[in-house]
Amino acid sequence: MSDAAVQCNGLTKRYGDTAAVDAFDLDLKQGLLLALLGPSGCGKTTALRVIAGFERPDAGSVEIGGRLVAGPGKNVPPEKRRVGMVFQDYALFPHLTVGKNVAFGIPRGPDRKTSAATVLAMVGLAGLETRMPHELSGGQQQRVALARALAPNPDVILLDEPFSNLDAALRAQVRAEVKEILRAAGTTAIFVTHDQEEALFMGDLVAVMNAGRVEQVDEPQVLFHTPRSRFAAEFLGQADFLPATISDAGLTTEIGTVPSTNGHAVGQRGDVMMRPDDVTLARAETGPGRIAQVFFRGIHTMYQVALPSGQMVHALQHHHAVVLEPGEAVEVRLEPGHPLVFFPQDVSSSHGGGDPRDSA
Amino acid sequence: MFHLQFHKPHSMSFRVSILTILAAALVVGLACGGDSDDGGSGNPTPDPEPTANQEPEATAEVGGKLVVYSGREEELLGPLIGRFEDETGIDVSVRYGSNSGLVATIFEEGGNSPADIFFGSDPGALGAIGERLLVLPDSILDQVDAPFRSGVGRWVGVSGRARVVVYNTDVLTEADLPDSIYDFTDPAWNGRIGWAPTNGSFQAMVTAMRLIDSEDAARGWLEGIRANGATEYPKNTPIVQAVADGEIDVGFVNHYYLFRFLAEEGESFSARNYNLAGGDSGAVILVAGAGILDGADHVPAAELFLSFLLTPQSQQYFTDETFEYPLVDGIETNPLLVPLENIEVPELDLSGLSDLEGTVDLLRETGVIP
Amino acid sequence: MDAVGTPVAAGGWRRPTLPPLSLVAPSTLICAALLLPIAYVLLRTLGAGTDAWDLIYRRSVLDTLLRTVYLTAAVTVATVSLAVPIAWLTVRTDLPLRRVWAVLTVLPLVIPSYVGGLVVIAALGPKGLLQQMLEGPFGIDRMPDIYGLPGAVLVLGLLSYPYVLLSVRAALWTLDPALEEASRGLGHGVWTTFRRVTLPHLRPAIAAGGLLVALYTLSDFGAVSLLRFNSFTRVIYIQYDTAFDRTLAASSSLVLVLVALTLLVIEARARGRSQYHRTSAGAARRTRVVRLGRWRWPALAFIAGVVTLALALPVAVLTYWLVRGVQAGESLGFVWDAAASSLYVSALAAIVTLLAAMPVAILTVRHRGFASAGLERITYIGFALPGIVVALSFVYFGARYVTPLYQTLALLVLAYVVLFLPVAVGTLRASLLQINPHIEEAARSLGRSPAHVFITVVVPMLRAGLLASAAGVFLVTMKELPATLILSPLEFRTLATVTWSASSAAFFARAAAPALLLVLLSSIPVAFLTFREQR
Repeated sequence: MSDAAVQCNGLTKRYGDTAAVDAFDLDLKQGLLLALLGPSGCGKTTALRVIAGFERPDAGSVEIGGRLVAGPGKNVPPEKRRVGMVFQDYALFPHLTVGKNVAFGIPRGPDRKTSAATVLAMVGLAGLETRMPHELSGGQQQRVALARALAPNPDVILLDEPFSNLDAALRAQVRAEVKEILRAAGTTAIFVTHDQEEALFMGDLVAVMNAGRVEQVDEPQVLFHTPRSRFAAEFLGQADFLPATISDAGLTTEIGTVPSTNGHAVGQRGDVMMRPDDVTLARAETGPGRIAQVFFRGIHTMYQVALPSGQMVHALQHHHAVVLEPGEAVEVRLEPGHPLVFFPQDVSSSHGGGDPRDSA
Repeated sequence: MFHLQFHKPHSMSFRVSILTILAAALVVGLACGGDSDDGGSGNPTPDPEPTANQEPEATAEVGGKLVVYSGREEELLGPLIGRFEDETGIDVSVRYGSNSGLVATIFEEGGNSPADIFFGSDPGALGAIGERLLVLPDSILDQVDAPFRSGVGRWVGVSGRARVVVYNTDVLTEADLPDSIYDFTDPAWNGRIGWAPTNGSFQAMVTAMRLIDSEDAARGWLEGIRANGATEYPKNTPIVQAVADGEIDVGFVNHYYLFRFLAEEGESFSARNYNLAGGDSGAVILVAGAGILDGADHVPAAELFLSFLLTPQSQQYFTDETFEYPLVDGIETNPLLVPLENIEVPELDLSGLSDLEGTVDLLRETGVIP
Repeated sequence: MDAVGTPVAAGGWRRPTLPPLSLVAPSTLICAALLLPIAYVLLRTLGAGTDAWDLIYRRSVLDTLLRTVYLTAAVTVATVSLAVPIAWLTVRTDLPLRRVWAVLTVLPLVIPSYVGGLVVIAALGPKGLLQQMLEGPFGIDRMPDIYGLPGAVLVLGLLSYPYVLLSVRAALWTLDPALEEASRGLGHGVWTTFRRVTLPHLRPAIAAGGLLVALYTLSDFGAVSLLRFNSFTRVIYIQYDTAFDRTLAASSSLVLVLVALTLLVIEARARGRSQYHRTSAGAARRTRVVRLGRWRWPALAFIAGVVTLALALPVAVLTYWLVRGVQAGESLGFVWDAAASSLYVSALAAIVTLLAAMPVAILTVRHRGFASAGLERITYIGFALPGIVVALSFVYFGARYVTPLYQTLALLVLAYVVLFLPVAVGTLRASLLQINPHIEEAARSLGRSPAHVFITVVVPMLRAGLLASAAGVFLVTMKELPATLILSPLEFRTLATVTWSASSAAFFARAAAPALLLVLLSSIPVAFLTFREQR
């Protein structure tokens, strides 16, 4: 396990009776970028703060670069963990210039200034050393914060909701830049977000967190298409759960059968998870579906379709040749092109109501 | 784990300078703290490391050191202290303060009090500290007439002050003023009187009224003056000022404050003293006096100091400079003062005035003090 | 955006982790020193007989207590309404000569309350200087009576508003201008922005300053006695003065402690529970100056009026006394030794108090909890007690248990710390509250130890608060009287004790010289600190 940059085992942090982080496990390899994704209050920021050393865990252990930094009877202070932290609010030192902010964590020596300049150049802010933080734009401040965290060459960079303070247009651009910077620096990084789009775009790996626990860690595509829980499924994007039964032909639903069984026995009942891009629509007088609502989203259109059973499904249409109106009867086909995930009934008896959804 | 150094000085000049000042001031401050302890406190505990410059000087002279707690102001006592130091070579340290603050301090210090002498400015304060004072040798006590010293020999009067009525010269003449302090309960004086019921000298006067006249007479007077809407002042000085300003027409004060005002403001100052007639208890003579504390480390020097206060030169100083009455014979009273022999003073042993308790109770009962 | 003020900040703020020993140890020591006066008062009270209780719990005493509470409320309201506009005008606007006003408006803090009382009576009394000036042209032969509540509120208000001013000024310097800009951007005018954005953010600072004013009022003796307002502290002093009864006086002080505790609860409510540091992203910008335009003249008149009453008037009366005395041939004493002692001991007190206040402020802001809240509250008790009670507690413990330190500068400075710690803690606390804890955490994760972070990051950011605290403690020490009289080394004179000694012997000219010197010398460090608080 020598290539593990960060390893957490059974990490638990309680506030009073509630466990903000509950038996949190993580194993992140060197050089990877992990997105810690979850709704507000799921404990992701607390987990980050425990790793950084700002909070002391009640149980479990943290290793950084193969070194035990927190565990039973041991709690290395933040300044000795070799961890770089980028805060949501940047937390730049308002009384220091940009150059001194970046040089703050670099050991004193003859090349301190040059290494600060190098890191600053890496984030595209060469020549701004003498500016004060308040003289920079939000995006620039965010990059100074990143440069400051990168400058001491830490074992891991932790970013807490790093893009949430940027406006939408800037956010997309900065995300790409940050991803590029981190990749170029070859740094291991964990960043916390509640935005699934951001997590899927940025992360080499995405960890979905719910109620203090990690529900699943996987590559973005794997996670998106084969979530292991209803929660993960819903949190990563629009998901519909359609009652289905395992038959010889595969999964049978009211809008068709797909040839995957996920290893379940014939006759097993449950729900199949589908994304809007797994469903295609065609105008058909006979139905059986009926358009309930239309969401025009520019480059594509999302339709909500009512099935005869009363079940609603969502469908994404990329072509604009056919424009369907609410109330129109449509033919609904399940054409995923990949295996669909099946949740057997006894595992998830509730139908979506209890699962927290993220408003974003 | 790395770089615990400071930034370059110019980036943090503020911080560095503050830290330097903090450190320097602390070092100096603590050093000085110890220093002044060695130098002057006269603490009963032996100095751990006697410094070279004080030992020889101390032993070469009469008694070395003396610590005085004085309820009399530095303005009045300071010159005399200097004179005493010059004459005897004794190094006198004085703590000036209010009578009550010093009395409380001595009691709280307990056996560790550095004080050798308590110099109080009214009989009440001297009475309050009485149990902590040593009995003085007759050689000191006998210099002062019996009424002006402690009945049990624990303190000796040093200077005398007369209780007087100060009046505004723009609205009153001496002829308008009554003979007795009891006459001021007459409704004619309603709203025209100022007094300072929390003042020690005032209370000594009330004690005198209780002793000379009667408890009931004193009570009746207090109630009568209250009923006349007397204005309350914290002490004598503002009464004299208020009388001169015409805020009030008369006030009950010690005689010498007026002369301070006359010295600063000249003869045009519109207030003068009036001595009540016929041996009235409102014309009682009070004293400022001193005694030696039971824990005194420098008793011989203390006795020398008391004797010094009673020398003709010192007594002359009190009458000339602080406008008080000398208490030893053969001193020429300041010509500005009405000579004691011209005042009809009531017959009273002043040591009785140190019993404050009954007076304080009476003042509380009548609601004069809270 | 949507994530501003997420639980990140809240979690970081209220973390119940144990504070480090480097904070707990000094705080515990400070706490022990702070408890000395309470221990003393309790000791004396327990020694008191039942008659003492009968004397304390009389109708008239309770009436006095109620009157005192009334006075306290009136003075506090008056000082806040003076200090907040002054602070805003001198920090945020283009008021002409605003730095000069900034210095002048703080200086009344250095005028001892008995001097203030004497001066106000001399100037505005029924037969004061103003009446004498008006008598000729207008035939006014008596001014309306200023004695009692109006006079006491006037004097105490004019002398103590700088407590609020200092803490509010410090908070204004630290306040994030983006908040105000946001409000302006939302279409609110200067006034609405001040009322709806600035003022609520100044709440902790106002509460801290107001609390000091209230406690100062509770414990003042000089002004109330001269202005004949029968306050509770005056009753305590009367017990010392007339009955020489230190037991009764101490037991009564216990009542004052209870009143102070009530005020502390009220202040804790007024302080509010919001966070005051910046939760939005990005570094704070420097604020833009508010242009007063045609309002500059009323503003100037207001501030000049306050300075006239609170500073120019006392200086004028003192000068008048001095000149009159000199003309009458009065010889003036030599007070340079007293001046040097005053400056030295006040600077020392300011520094030591600041050092003591730091761990307390950090503990209460960064490690909120029952114990730290209790500690912070305890710091105020010394300030609420009459100075003589605190001084006597140090006499009691000092003479008995640390005899070598008794009547040394070290013990005197410790007494100043106990008396004036809240002056520093309140302001520091308010400033510290406005520093985002993430900034410290960022510095920690960049490899700096907590102590190093404190020195290189927190101290520079606290600069305005530190300077204001130092100025406050310096000024109140300059004028401190009861503890200095009782606890100073023998032969140690300060300008305050010289002034007191001369004025109580009715040597007004000799009192005026050191009093004027007190104001003059205080203005130098205050000017220095005021000019440095701006970056």
